[in-house]
Amino acid sequence: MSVGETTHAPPAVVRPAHVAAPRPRFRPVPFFLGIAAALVLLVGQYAFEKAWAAALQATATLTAVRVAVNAVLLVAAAFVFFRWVLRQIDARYHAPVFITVILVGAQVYYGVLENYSVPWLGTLTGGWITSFSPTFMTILAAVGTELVLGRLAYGKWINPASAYVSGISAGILIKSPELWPFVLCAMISIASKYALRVNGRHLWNPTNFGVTVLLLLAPLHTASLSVQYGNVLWANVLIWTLGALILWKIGKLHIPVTFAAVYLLLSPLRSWATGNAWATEIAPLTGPMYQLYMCFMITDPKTTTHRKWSQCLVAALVAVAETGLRLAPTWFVASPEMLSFDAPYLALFTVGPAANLIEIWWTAGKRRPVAPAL
Amino acid sequence: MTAFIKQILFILILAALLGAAFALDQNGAAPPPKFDRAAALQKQGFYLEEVAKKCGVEFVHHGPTKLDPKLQHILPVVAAMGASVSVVDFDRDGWPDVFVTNGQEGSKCALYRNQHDGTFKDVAEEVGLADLNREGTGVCMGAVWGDYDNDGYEDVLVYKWGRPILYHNDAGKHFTPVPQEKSGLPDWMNANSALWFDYDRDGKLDLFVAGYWRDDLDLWHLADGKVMPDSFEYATNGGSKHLLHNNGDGTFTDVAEKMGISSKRWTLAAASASLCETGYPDLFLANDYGVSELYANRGGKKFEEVGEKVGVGHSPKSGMNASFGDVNNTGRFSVYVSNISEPGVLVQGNNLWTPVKGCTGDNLRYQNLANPLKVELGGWSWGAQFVDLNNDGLLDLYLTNGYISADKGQSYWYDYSKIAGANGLVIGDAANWPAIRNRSLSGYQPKHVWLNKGGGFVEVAAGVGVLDQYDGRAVATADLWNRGVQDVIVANQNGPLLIYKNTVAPGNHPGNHCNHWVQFALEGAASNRSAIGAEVRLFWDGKQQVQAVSGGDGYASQRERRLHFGLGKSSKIDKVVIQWPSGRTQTVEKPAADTAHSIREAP
Repeated sequence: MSVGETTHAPPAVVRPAHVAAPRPRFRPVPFFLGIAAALVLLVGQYAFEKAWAAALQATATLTAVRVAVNAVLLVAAAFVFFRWVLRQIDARYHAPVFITVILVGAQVYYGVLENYSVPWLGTLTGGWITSFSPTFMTILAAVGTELVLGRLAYGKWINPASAYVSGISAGILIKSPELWPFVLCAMISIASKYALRVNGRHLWNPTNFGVTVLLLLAPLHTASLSVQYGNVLWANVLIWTLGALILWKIGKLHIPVTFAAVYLLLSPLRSWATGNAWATEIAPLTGPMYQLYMCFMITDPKTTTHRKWSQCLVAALVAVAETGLRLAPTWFVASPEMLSFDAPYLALFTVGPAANLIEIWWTAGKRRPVAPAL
Repeated sequence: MTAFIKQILFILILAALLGAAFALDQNGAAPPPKFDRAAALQKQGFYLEEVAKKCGVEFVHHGPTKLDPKLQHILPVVAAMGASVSVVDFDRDGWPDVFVTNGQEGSKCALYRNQHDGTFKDVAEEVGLADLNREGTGVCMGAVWGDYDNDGYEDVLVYKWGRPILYHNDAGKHFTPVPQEKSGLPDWMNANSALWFDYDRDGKLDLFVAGYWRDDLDLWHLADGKVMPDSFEYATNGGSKHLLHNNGDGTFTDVAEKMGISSKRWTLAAASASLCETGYPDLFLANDYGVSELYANRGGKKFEEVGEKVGVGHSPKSGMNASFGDVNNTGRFSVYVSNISEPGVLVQGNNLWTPVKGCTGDNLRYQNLANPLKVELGGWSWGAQFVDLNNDGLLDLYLTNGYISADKGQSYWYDYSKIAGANGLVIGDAANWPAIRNRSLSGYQPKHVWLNKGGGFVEVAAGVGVLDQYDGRAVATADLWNRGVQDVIVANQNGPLLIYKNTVAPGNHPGNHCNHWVQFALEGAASNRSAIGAEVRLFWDGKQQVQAVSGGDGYASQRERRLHFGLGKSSKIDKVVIQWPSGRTQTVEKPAADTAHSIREAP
């Protein structure tokens, strides 16, 4: 996943490709005040929920008050953080900061990450450290692979921000009792960027490629994230708001909006075909896996097509393909069930590169490659 | 290096990584060995043979079928519990008996009296413990035995989705229900676990009962479908917990809130021992849809939930079992919590919470060693027990599993995964749960017998004769025929009760398995007479191992109270130190091996 590669993305405002975007001047006072204000709003929301949630559920009107207060506080926190903190940071680091905020917040509030224990670590440190984080190891593996392969490819150390996002995403999305699937997912994700290229452009979103092939090649030891983080709607509000602001800033918001719209439009079809409640068919959208998928994976500037209308078309096709894969075992009994489980990954895995190839073919000879060939 | 060569190099690197992923995934995926008694004795030193029918036990469990129509479309998912097994010598004849609960409305439970000749006879009807599922009273989920009035006979609490009942054992002849005003039990609750323990060390057994579903739910008559957990991993809308203090006059008082136990998690298993090593029994809860909890006993005056602090309360899973075992012979208990693992779908992994060396008391800390010790992946895991199956002096682990075995060709997993990943607003309403129809959900799973090799476990189930694929729930262990070996009894949901008779290699066996054993049947004096909570620390051959008398543990199970230690090849025991629940310590020097010792608490 590579929103972190936005330095190479077409900017929202059209300017000549060789002209870099003006770097925002760093103003420490608003920066730190912004962080403080966002934290105050979050603490306020937490305190409000803790103190008043039960009382305000008594009637429909009071429930509406509760929802409104929570929503205002969280949207305000997201906006303050975006306006006075994120916008002062180089755009390359928006995605790493955003995904770090998601991970740290989820871990602090809900302990979503499971550390792996090794007996000798506890013995060695007198019980102070008994375990390590596979997610952290995944980040290290991704960054390390990027540095080594980047050095081999370009003869210089390259900025690992994109690899950091890939690593953190793989570390969240992969679930396994072993360490090796995490590490291999990270390494495969990064290696795919260098190995699978056409006209200097890599076709697959790296993490999408890594997660998908690992789910295909190592199903006995690998699963994808499939449960909620904390299971509260407020976390969704915060993440979607902040994500939307960042995506709007880099001119990619239309992609997840299109995907979500088509996903929702197709949900009655899935409901009808499976006999399940409509709420069940839209339920996955409320989970962290889709938050990562929509905020980072399908919006990756490096592996999306270049024109806005084609990006919308591809997002819609991914959603259509996803529904097809989800329904395959319902309509065709012989279809493997994993098509449904891994439908979002497989949909992007197939539609994304196909769209890129078509675009490369279509524009061949009309424009120069977007990145130098290896 | 040209761009083309670089490209080839990168493709080769990627191919190597993909190959590594495939190869690592296939590693260890070999088919299980074929069962051969001689080979099992030679290689593992024991084998297990399923003998229930031969022993006259033909019990088949059935789950509830008449739950509210709002749950009918997911009935197999909801009505998936209730097969329990507990071992007790209810008539004090020195031979362990077996009690099993049934779960269908109107169905009968069974109490198998040991006939001393290798067979059992169901006497539940004649002693008044058969007809426990009458309409309007709910259905049985399990039973735990303890002598609450210290009259020498084990009484029994039957917990239910419905009205829990405490039965007094009338000298092993009959069981009389204790009126609710005396037992202090709620009129109605939906419990899935309970245990006896003496939390304040006053010599009288207290009772802990843990709710699963909300207490106000009558699952046969629901107002609406909003009864499901409000999260797959963070649910806190489960049942209340009840801590019934034994007043010593035949009555109990619920002191849960006062003692600091206010959890509303969906508890599936409870176990107790002095994990903090204060001498007071602590309380470990394995919760479905959430994190485990450890209630540290503060001198019998208060319980404090320290799960997160000690490390067991961080990563939420689907806790379904809690059993204790000194797996490394360090003299400390590890805790085994079972969860769900389905390849390619959901990999929670089971937890083996092992105390970190040097961290005890207020500094207690656990680390999960399930993966390095190879007892992590057990399918949809349920009950488990630590037991030395080959008497080699190391505790092995028996795990049963499997959720719903229906149509083999159809799986409910995909639909289940959608609802499991949903926000609380969706998952909490049964109406949103996809209909399961006749589909399986982690059904037909092979069981696990993990043999402790010292420093790690190896899977031997198929090789030692455990070949069933029923939907296992509860596991209990006992020396059913007083032979100096541990047999295994498994209760299956909608399946037969299985009795695995253990055959351990004799001393002259070519496999060089010349293993000895020793047993201790304890009786408290100042302590509760059942000696529940007593810890026996055995020192032999430069090693030590601790075991505790259980008042209920695993999942819906209770092991035999008599403690069994394998000794390996050594027949010389240095000493045994007994820490009684009263706080007293008693040492027995050089007890004989290959003997079942009866020890009464010294005055």
